[in-house]
Amino acid sequence: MSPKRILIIDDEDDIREVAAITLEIGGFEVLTASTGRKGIERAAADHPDAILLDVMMPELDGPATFAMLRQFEATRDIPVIFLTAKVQPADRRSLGSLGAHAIMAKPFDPNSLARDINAALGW
Amino acid sequence: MHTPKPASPIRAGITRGATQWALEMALLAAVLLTAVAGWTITSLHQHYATVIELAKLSDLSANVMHLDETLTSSARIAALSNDPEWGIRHDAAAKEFAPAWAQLRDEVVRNDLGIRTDKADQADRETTRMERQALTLALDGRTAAATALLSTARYHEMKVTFGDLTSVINQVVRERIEAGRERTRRRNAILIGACLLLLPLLVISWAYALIALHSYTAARDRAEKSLLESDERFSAASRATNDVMWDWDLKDNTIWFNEALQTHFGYSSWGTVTISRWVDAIHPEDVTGVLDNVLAMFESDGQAWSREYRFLRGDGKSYAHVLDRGFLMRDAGGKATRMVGAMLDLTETKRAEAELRAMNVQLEQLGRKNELILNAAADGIVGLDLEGRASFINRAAAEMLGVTMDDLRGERFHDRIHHTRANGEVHPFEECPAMRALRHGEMTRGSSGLFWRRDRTSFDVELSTTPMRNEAGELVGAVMTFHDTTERLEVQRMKDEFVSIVSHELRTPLTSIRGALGLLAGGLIASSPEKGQRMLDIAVSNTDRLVRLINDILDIERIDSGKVVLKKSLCDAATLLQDSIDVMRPIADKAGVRIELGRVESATINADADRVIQTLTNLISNAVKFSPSGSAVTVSAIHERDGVVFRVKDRGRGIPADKLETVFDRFQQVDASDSREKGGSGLGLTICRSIVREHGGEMHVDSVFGEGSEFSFSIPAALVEASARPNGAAPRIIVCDDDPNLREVLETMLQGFGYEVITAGGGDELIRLLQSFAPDVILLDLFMPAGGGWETLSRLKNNPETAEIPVVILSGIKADEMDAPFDLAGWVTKPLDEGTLIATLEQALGVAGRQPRIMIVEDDFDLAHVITESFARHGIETCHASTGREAIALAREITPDLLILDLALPELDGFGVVEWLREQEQLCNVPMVVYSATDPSPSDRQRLTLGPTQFLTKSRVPPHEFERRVVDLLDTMTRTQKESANVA
Repeated sequence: MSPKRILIIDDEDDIREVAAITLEIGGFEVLTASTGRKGIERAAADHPDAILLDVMMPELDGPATFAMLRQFEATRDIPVIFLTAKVQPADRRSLGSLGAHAIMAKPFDPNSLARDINAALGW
Repeated sequence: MHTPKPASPIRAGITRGATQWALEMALLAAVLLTAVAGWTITSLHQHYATVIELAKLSDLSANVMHLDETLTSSARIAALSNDPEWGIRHDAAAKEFAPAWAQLRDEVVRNDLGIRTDKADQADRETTRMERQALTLALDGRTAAATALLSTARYHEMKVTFGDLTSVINQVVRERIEAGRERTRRRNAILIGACLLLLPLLVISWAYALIALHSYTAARDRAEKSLLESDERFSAASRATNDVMWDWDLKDNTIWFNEALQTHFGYSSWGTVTISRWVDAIHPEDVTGVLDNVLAMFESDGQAWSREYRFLRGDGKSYAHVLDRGFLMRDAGGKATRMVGAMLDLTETKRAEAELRAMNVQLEQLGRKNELILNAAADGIVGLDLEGRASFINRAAAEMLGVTMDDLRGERFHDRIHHTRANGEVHPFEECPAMRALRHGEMTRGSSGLFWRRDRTSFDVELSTTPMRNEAGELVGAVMTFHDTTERLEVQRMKDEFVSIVSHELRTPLTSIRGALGLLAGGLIASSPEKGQRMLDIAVSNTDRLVRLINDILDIERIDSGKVVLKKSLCDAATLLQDSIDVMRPIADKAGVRIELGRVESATINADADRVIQTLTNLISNAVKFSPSGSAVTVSAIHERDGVVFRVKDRGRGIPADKLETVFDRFQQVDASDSREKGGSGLGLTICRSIVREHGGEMHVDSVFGEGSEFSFSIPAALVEASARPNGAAPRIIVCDDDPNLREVLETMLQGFGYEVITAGGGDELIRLLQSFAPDVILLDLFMPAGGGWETLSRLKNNPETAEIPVVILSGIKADEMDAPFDLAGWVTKPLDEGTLIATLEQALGVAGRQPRIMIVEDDFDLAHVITESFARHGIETCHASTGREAIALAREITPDLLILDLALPELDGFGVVEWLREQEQLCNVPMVVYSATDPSPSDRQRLTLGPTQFLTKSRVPPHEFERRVVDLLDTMTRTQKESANVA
């Protein structure tokens, strides 16, 4: 079975890098994008098995990116996990109402991130 | 309606007069008639008495005749008979005859009958002798002789003579009686007629007299009775009343008081006393007024007098408050003769009145206090009646709703203010908390709602309603309190947003750190040393970023909350700008960006140099970051009206118009990803603005999107000119320090500030210099090798000639670490800060008794000029600030002895200035005169009080009066200052 492909969309270079290494070690094939727009393009082009989406991003933020992903036929069914520093209950509630598969908090534990993603997506 | 009867004493007077007249007439008639009758009767009586007398005479005459015949016959018989018996009889008759005859003779003379008795008397004597002879003869027996003797003619003749006399008498008496009878008959007729006429008159007059007498008596009795009754009434009334009645006789200046003086006022007696007793009893403070008042009335033509005054009680201590009323009587000439009146004790009434007044005042005060409390409340308070109509709204409510009580009358408060929900739906009264309070007596707390203003705008409120019940527990209305939560909600929203952003901003580097370290710690990348190193680099750089971020956040908080004390000093704007450029040049060079100098003017500002450089480098750094390589960043510093304006201009891509507003807000980078690339925390501009604001300046940005941006900020000028000593003599200073370099630096610096400077290298030199040079202040280094600072100080202070010279210590240690044994004028710590040194020296010179300095904060330049001029005449130094910010900047430079403050000022008003001043240790007790256009309210006055504070209103206190008051205040101040200095 070929490894699952995950697209990481985050504007923070360091976070993208750390997350990518973490997930590669966890056995995923990792794609990255530094903005929401680039992420959508990448998702449409490469059809990842899941998307790890940052929330606070300039221009197109996480929820907006998510909404667009849900609009396009090509990306509509890709499961999305929000990876966010917004951890306050109100923020979680508003994110939760959007219909993403899961919400994961920053900072994350690299030793359990891959496991958590698998659990959330039922892999 | 009561109509007064005619005055009864007048009628009584008339009746009494008539009765008296009738009585007098009647009595006169009666007396006259009685006199006539009496005379008539008396004359009758006299007449009858005469008749009786005459009758007696007649009888007497008859008796004498009879006795004469007896004598004759007895003598004859004796002579004839010779009988002795007859002789005896004759002798007896003779004895009887003699007195009878004598009596008759006397009566004839007495009755003046006009009859001569001498002949008869002679005849009697002769016959008696003859008879005696005859009898003697007879006794001798010589009868014949005796008889012959008695038969002689002589005897006979004599006897006839005597007999004739008696006949004459009888006849005269008869005639007389007859004449008397005739007269009596006539007189009787007259008398009887008179009596017949007089008697009825007499009876009538007597009867009338009696009646008159009776009616007079009755009238008198009535009058007496009425007088008695009136007297009794008066006495009873005067006893029953507490009024002191009085009667002042102005002729002998006595005054009569009734019993009430004793019973009511507690005097030991009452009655008539001299007027001075009354005068003495008037309260000393009232007496002049009362007497003047009375005397004035005597002089005028007034009659009724009344006056309130205090009247001494019988105890001699307490006074009664009396209302005295009098009625003045005058003589025909109009001269006051008597005054009668009554004194009413008003003490109780007055006391009750005063109590009532006090109570009313209290109630009013309470009412006003309540109103004040209600109006002072920041929350809106609305009283609702049972129908839900507003019966009261406090000031806050009126202001928030933009309505007055009048606007709300008649309509239900809910329908007017609370009718529509935020979503535009109708908000039914049934669901209003007011309704629950009014209908069910329910209390609601803190429910949120939407209120509508008069201008149809709305605002969020939090409201509470409390039902009001009367004493019987019945619902009578409700009170609704509310406050505008718009701002709070906004603050809450901003706070939430800030927390959310900070959370995000902190978590972002943490995520990288945690992830990188987690990978290392988990040994997951142990096989790849390059990756391991990379992870460590990420962790380190993100840690730095985190530290920067935290520092910046804390910095902003500290600056904004005023916890950062700016280390201000006088510095040159151009120098600061140059320093900043020097710092940034390497970075700019690296980015290929030139830093060009625009116009740069030298100007002194009082600022924290490090902070200004931080601001400038931040701006230049931003400009460099966003400038394309090869372009230039232009910087300038220009002295403008309010101070120095620094500008940093780049030719970067600029800021979109919609972001210009928020560019200074926290974490509001135009493009976050850009800023991350450039390594900013997102707080730089926010910090810059806080620093500038803390200096009393402002920061602006101008930008054309795509062409570049220009950031500028102003720092107020230091106004060194104003603080320089204007009138003449430069302050003289001796700088005593063993370090020649420092001496030189200080000399140059102080000369620059207008000081006349002499330097000394040690204590001995200083003492020597003092003999020829009298400085205003000494700057003394504490730690010098030869003749150490302490020793020198002690020598200075122990010499009376030099003890008064203020000494400022220059030392490497802080003042509070030392226990200074001498009175020092100041303490400056090394390394030297120019601003602090000058300020300390200025202060030291102030202590030494320089002219007081007034700071005028007044935006009206003309008025400020007038005030400055007027104080210049008193040799008082002034400095002027025309805005609140200027005032603060100026107050930082110089410590004024007195502040003259206008309230309405641009930028920052008087309240803001005072608020700031109050927080400054050196300024919080500065005396102040608030010279404002309007009279500040008591609460405002409290807010405005600094040191001793006076409030003068421009409209009431004209400039010259204002000048006088301020000079007085300064005089008092300097006097107190000197006194306290002397005591010290």
